[in-house]
Amino acid sequence: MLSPQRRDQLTGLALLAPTVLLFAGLIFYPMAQSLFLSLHKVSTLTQRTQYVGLANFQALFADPAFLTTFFNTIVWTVGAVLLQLVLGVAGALVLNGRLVGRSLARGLLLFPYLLPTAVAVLVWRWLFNDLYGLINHVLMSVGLIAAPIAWLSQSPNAMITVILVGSWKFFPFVIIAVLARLQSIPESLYEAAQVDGASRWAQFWDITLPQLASVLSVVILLRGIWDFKEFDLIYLMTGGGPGISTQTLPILVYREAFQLLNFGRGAAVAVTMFGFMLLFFAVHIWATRHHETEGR
Amino acid sequence: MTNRSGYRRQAALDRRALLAGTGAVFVTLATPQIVRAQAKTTLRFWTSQGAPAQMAAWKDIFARFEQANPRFTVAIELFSDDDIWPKLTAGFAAKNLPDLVSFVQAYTVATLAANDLLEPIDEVVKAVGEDDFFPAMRDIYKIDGRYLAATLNNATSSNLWYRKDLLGEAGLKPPVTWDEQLAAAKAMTKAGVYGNSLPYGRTSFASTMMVNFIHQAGGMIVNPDGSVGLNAPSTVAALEFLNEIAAYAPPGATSYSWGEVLNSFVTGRAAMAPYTGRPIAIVADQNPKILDSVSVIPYPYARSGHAAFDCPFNSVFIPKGSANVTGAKLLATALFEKRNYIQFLHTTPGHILPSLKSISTAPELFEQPLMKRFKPEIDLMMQSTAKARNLVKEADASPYNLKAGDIFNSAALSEMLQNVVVNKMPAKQAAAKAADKVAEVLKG
Repeated sequence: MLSPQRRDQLTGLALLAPTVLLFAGLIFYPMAQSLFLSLHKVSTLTQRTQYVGLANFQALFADPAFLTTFFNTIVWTVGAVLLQLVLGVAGALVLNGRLVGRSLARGLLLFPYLLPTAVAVLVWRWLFNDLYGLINHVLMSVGLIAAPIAWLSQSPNAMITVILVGSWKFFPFVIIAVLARLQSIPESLYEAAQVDGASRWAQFWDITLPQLASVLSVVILLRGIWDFKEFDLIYLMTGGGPGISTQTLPILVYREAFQLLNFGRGAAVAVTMFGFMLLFFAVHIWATRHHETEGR
Repeated sequence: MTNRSGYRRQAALDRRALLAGTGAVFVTLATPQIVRAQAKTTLRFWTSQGAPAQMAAWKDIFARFEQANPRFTVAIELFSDDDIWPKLTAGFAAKNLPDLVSFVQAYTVATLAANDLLEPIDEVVKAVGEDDFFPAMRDIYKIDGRYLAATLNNATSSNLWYRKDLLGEAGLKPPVTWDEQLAAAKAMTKAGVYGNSLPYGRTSFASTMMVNFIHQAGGMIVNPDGSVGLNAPSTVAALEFLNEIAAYAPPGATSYSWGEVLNSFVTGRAAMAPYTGRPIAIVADQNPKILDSVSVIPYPYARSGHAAFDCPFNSVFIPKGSANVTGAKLLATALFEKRNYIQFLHTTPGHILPSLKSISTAPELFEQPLMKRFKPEIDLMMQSTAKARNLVKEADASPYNLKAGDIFNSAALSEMLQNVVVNKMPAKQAAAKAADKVAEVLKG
């Protein structure tokens, strides 16, 4: 006969078990599998494996293309997140003010986020087309350029274009998050600042921005993670080209695993990505806590 | 009470009888279907050719096959050239494979052959007639005396489509050598029209064309003795020509692949472009006003080199692990039957060309109006295709290059081109770098 205490313990474990199993199956198993694969030479086609230790990682770090790809990933992530923050905060401030047709504007600004990536990319590729694109046509019509610009086929145009499109696609997420926070900032803070003669800029800098700090911290974290592993938008826009000037780490994973049929090398890139994201996560948490401690 | 319970019993009996009767009817009606379904075997057919006209042709062809072979039904499953590897690898990993795969290039077949993942199909080639195949198209899939695939049909992009009217206005003749092509490109580049379009992107089209350009300059990627032949003056000459003629290509050509090159020519924005015979149907459909002004010639070559043509050898093969090898062989053989074969070629007039001599001379082939109208061009492309080669077997003396797919997938060739045209690397340095990469692939 079990004691009531023991029975409670077992009940607790039984209740926890499904969650633990789910986590193990959905998170720990793929992680362990990736790590396992990264230490092996694996043919994607035949699944034949051969233990190679750290050789995949050594080959990766010795490859200049990997370092370029890593640098591209950082440029893309930082560029896209920064632009999304600027656009998102600006958009949220506009939508939070007194605006005719505010509900309609809110709906329209969410539109890019709701649009499937493949559709959005098709539209933008047409707009940026070297022969028929509206953007070149307009710029040439107003005399800003004499000949069409290769927006997606020359470096650094391609990376800049991809960052612009990516920011357009994902900045509504920042609007949603920031707008929710803006609506909860007490109006009395602004009234007091006005009484003290604070300018609009001073109100934004000393009231709005500090109030947004916590939500922006979460937004930077989430968007940083999502953009760091963004694949479809970049792959569909440029395929990583010209050359490898817009190739990011997720595209390299795909190329190694499914074009070069080397799952081990692909997994090594994925594990490196994971390690870097963990580092980013740790630094971000530390910086946020440090900032909060200083604020107190 | 008695009446009510009797009524209930009666009603219950009626419901029971109704249910039993319905069940009996259902079973009676369903049994032949079930028996029929159990008796039939479904053959899974993979193809990348799924345009509406092609799907209609497949359905007709398979309806005739099913009528002649009542044991089988055929299920069509589409793939795209971009997702063939993810689909195939998933299929092999899950042991969930198609029975017959079509329209896969020789490079891919080489990689599968290297990994022993193909079922020999000697019976199919013999049933079709070994001698009826154009020799290069038959032998490309003969490895160690066995046919591991068959060239279902073919196409070559080593043609140069050009605008007769624009070339005439420039007072030039169709170019035969690269020098002449360069002069023509320069002369035809005018406001809104680019003299020449080429795929400079890091794409399969660029790699395909690069193989051909090196052959046209008299070089080889892999020598018959297995050494890398890429780091040679012929490669440098090809790269320098491509860099020079890039000045007359649309600004976005550095990311161009198949679609963009075709589009630039069909819409009249490029005066010359390499392609298979596909422009015939597309121009007729989308820009008919230039239809009389377009024609095709064999792609020019280096003055110090020779004419050379590259083609994909669109294959049909049975992956090892197919659940219905016998049925798949029957189906493969049926695809080569004259009526089926020509019906499918008519879906994309001039684009896909026959691998069988008997079909290339069949009057029925030219019954399709556009094929009839462009018969001289199609005859020319058939001649080029019959002489075409591929990285899998670059010369008669070359052994079967089982690493051809790996070289192709490594993008060493398109990267080399981009290094010169986009990154402005000296051609000699780019050739040496690419040669190292190919050597590494061959070693791995």
